[in-house]
Amino acid sequence: MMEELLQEMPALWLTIKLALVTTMILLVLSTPFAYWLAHTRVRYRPVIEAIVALPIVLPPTVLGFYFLILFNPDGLIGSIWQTITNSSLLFSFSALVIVSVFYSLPFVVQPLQNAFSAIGRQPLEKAYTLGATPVNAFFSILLPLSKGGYLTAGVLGFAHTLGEFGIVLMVGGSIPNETKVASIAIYEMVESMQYDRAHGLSGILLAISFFFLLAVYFVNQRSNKKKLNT
Amino acid sequence: MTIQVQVDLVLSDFNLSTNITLPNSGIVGIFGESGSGKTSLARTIAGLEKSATGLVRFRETIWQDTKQKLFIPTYERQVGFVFQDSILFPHLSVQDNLMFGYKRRSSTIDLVDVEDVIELFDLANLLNRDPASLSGGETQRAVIAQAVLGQPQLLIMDEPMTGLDHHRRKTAVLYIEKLHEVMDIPILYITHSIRELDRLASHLVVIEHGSALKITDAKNYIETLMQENF
Repeated sequence: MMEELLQEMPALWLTIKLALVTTMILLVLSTPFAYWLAHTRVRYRPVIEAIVALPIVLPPTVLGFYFLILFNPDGLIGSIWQTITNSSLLFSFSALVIVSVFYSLPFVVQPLQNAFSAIGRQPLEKAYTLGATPVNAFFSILLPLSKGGYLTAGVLGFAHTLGEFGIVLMVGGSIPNETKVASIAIYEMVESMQYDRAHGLSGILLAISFFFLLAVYFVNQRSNKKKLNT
Repeated sequence: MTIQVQVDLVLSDFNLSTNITLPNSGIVGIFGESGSGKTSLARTIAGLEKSATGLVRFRETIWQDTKQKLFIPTYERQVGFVFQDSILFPHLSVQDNLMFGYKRRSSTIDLVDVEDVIELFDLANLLNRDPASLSGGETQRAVIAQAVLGQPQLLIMDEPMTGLDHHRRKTAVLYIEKLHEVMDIPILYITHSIRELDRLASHLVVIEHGSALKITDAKNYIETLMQENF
C-alpha cells in the first residue's frame, strides 16, 4: 500500500507545489488589485470585473488554447521568454504557474474584493491620518480586518489550482516531474486501464480538497457567530 | 500663518472649486447643505482626494501644489480626521486604538499628554474594553481622543455629532469646547447644524454647490440664519 502511494508522490508533489506557488503569487498580486476594484469609482470597472471572472465560465481548453499560442516560441510571450531564459516556455513548470495564476485569479480576487468592500475605505484612511504609512496600515489594519477573506481566497485559489486539467493539458503536456500534475496522471492511468492507481491518487485529491473546503466553512461559521454575538 | 486652500476637484457626481484662506486658530465652522462639498473640501485638505488639483498650504508648509507636482501624502500631513459615523478599529482594544496614532508620531513631536486626553474624554475606565462593547457616546469620545492623540497640527471633524441623540450631543459639545485645554490647534468643524455652529465656531465658511465662501462676521451670519430657521 505504502509503496503504491509512494509512486504517486512525484505527480502529487508537483500538484501541491504548483498550487502553493500559484496561490502565493495570486495573494500578493490580488491584494492591490482587489483593493482598487473594491473602491474605485471608474466607469469601466464592470469591464475589468468581467475579465477577471472569465476563467469561471470559459472552458479551460479555450483559455489553454490562447496561452498555447502566446507561449509558442514564435508567440508573443514565448519569444520573449526564449530570449531571456534561453529555454522554451511551453511545456515547462513556469508555463503552468502563469496559466494557473490566470485560471485561479477570480477565486482569489473576488473574496478579497468582497472583504475590502465590507471594510470600506474609512479604516485605512483613518490609519493614514494617524500617521501610518500605506505598508504599515496594510499590516496593522487591513490584513487583520480581512483575514477571513484572505483565508477564503488562499484556500479557494489553492483548491482550484489543484483541480486544473484542461488548461494544463494544453500548455503543459505531461512531462514527469515538470508538468505531469495529479489530474493529468489520473487521466493517463484511466486511459491505460490502471484503475487501482487512479483510485489511490483520486482518493488523495478528494481528501485534500474536502479538507481545505471544510476548513474554510468552519472558520466562516465561527466568524459569523462571533459577529452575531457582538 | 494661515491655511490656504485653492483647489479643484472633479468627481463623478459633483465638482468642488474653491479658493479660501482659513484662520489658523480656533474652531472654524464649515457649513452647508448635505452634498454641497463640505466633506470633499475636508478630504482634499487631508490629502484623501488624490484627484484634486491646485494648492493646499498649511502655515509655511505646502501640502499640495499641482504646478510643482508636489503632493504630501496624508500620513505626513499631521491632520487629525474624525470621520462621519467613525468607529474605532474593531480588532484593537480601546487603549490600542487610542495609542495607534500616538505611537506612530510621538518620536517626532510631543504636542499632547496622553493622561490629559484620557482624563478630558473620561476614558480611563474604558481602556481595556472591546470597541464593540462601547455605547455610541463612549465611541464618539474615544474616536475624537484617538484623533487628538495622533498629535495633529490641524483637526478636522466631519459631522461628529451624527448618530448621537440630543442629550449626548450636548455632552459631546462640552468635550469639544474643552479640547483647547489639551492642545492649541485649529479645528475645522463640518456641520449642517446651526446650533452647533453657534455654540462652537469662531469663524465660518459656507459652502454652496461646491464653492466656498468665507464669512468674516460669523456671529452676525449665524444670528441671521437662526432667525430665518426658528
